[in-house]
Amino acid sequence: MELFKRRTTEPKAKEEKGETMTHQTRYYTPPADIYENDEAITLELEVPGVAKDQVSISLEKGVLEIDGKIDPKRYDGYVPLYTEYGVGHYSRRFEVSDAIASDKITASMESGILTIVLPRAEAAKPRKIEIN
Amino acid sequence: MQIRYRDPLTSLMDIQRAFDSVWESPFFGNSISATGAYPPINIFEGNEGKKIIVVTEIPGTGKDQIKVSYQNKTLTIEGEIPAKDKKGAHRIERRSGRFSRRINLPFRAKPDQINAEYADGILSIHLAKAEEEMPQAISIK
Repeated sequence: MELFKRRTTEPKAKEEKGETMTHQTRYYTPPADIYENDEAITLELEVPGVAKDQVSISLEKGVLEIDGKIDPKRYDGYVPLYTEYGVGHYSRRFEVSDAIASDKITASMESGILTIVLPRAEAAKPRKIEIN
Repeated sequence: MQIRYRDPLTSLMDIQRAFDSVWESPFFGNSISATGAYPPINIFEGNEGKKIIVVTEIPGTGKDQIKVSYQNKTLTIEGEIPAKDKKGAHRIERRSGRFSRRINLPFRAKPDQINAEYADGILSIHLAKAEEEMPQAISIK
């Protein structure tokens, strides 16, 4: 059963293609791994540079929204000489089925990876029917 | 933060990147992505040009799994992002596996003053330019 129906490609109205200028800091769509087993769906997002307390995760009307803020001051006083990647905040939204126990969602952060575990609702867990 | 481009170094580094990316091409069997060398780097200058900071994003690994070395103006970053067994995967966008990148610096660094730190998935390498790279004031007789 696929609980993630599709990735929401049109995030907030003013954003476009994952890169948006807001307060002079861009927004990027973090790469994600999504995998599931019988118990839960696990989501791993790459958000390097985001501290644990700078992440907000919300689930509303079947949309899981993840927002991670970097510290733009980190590069104060540095003059860029050569750049290959852009630096900015992260934002991504996923549509989630209602077969998730929304009150049991847990999240953890390690080495720039945000892991969100979405346990299945009891009613949605696969069940083996014994034949007598 | 504003990212600006400065021409000479950028074009030199682009050439280097193009060469580096050859090793990542499917031909050499080392491919994870063909879009360029991994990890991508940003180079900053601080303290009036005395300090150089090479920053790269390698999320999902640890400081014990990254090796940084410097020899003769070449900085090498290599390591591994452990691949987890992800059964029932819907989407795998993250990169995993071994990586290696050589960066030819356009200056000589003081080998005893290179520091590297890894935090929140970001590897920062701090280098100090060697004395002979700094502008010397010449007195006029």
